[in-house]
Amino acid sequence: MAHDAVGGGEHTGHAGMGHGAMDMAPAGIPLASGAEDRDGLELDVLHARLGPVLAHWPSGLVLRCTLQGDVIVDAEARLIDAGPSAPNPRISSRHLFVARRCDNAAGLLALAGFDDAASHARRVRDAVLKAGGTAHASRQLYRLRRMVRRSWLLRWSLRRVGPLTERDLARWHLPEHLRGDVRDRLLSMLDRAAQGLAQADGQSTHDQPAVLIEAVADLVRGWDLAAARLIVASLDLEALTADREVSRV
Amino acid sequence: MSDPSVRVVAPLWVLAAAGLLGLLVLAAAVLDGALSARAAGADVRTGLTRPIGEVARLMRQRRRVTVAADTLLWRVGGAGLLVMAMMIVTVVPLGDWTLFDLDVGVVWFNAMDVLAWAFVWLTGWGANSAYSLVGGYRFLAHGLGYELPLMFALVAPAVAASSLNVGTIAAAQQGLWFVVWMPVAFLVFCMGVLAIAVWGPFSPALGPDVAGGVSVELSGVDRLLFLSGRYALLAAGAAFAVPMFLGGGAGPLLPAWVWVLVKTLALLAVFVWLRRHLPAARPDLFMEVGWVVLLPAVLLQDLLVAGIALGRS
Repeated sequence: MAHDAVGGGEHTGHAGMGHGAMDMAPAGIPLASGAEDRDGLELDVLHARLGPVLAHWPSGLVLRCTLQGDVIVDAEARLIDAGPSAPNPRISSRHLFVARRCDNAAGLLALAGFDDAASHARRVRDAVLKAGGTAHASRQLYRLRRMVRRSWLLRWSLRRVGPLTERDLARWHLPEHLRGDVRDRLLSMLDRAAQGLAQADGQSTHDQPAVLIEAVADLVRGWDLAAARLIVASLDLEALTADREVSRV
Repeated sequence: MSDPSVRVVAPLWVLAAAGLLGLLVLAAAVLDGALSARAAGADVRTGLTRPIGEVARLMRQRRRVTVAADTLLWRVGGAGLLVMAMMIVTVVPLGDWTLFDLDVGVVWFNAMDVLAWAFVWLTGWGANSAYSLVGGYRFLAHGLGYELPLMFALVAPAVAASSLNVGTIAAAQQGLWFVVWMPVAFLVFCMGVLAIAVWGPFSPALGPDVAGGVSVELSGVDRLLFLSGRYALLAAGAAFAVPMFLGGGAGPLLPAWVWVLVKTLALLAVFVWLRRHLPAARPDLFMEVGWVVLLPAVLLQDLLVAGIALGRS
């Protein structure tokens, strides 16, 4: 409230210089300024923030977006509270790796509106984390991969969103498994979960190359909100352990 | 009026019709809850009671207000879907009885379904929130794709029965249901019903990526009205498909009104089931499908139906 009062005071100050305070800031919200959009038309600019807490979003990631309509014309990414999460002694790192992949896949599927597959992915995640649930989880994961692979509607909806070529990967130093569009990355996420599940304990599953957060901002620039959310979810980031998986330059 | 087999009942029966629609809404919500619980691996019984608990919660919840909200338009939009659904069922004959034997019942349905454009968008606009406005515009983008195919899908049964009266169209299907020889029109109609209910593939307007889109700032009774309005539209759309495509009250043994209810429930169950099994159709992609695939397909269907109708007469 104190902030609002200060803001209102500023606007009253402007009003003295010839602006009508009521017109410039209805209900205390300053009017949006305009700028040229991608078609060269004048369009209002809105500054909105995605994260740090948002459903199906890597927690801790904050994306400050400049929106025109629902198109992200500019974005800036940063992390809050980046720090290693305390390792859970009861769950092996291999199981955590698989569970994280399943959780990320569940988020992506939920964003794509495929609720049944999303519930399925969450069940696989829970089975992996439960002691002795590996065999059950493998069967469930197999069925999930088949369901996702076979859905032509999902293929139609996700293909050509956020494509990354070999050159893009090299430019932003992204790992190999992020190549292709969002659907390719979803399948590779599930494949990596299956590989992780098939390996024996103690075998090293990951030395995950870091994903630069600046890359996240670059990748969503120019896409609309829906596509941007899908792209961020498809990057398969490691939430909460931001310093290990996602690093600053 | 034009069809002696349909009788107009006393106006007080409107209450019974609203009650029946309410029961269909409850059935759909319970089914959705059960399917969701099963998919999540929880006990199905918890899903069965979820809608009732949700109603109780929303009735008690205090209204959330946003800064500089356009309250009047917001409330109009939120409550509008339920009103639309009730207006649609007034022209649907329940066996031999109807509330409103309108000569242009098909046009009435069309007029009502177009209202969804206004109501959904107004709900998105009224809250003065960026996410809900994005949701509102997503619905309009879908509308540009589905509305014309839906209109032309409604034309097919009307042409075949040479009437815009819903009772007459139902009576014209004795022997052969319209769904059999105009399947494209039926499928496009069903798609239209899903779309006006912002359901399943047409739910990006309420998408989790924009924190619930149109419904993001809705709370308490407003949210209850909006959500039950969506279920009511699904139910009303399924009920309207029965006289249009599924032979109305035609069926063996049971009385006509029971058959209408059975067919409505069956179609409603399919609609509810579809939600979890189909991914969302992104508005930008669906626009192309609507104009390049659905519109020509349904126009061809109309041409075929018109040719057959001409040949018969």
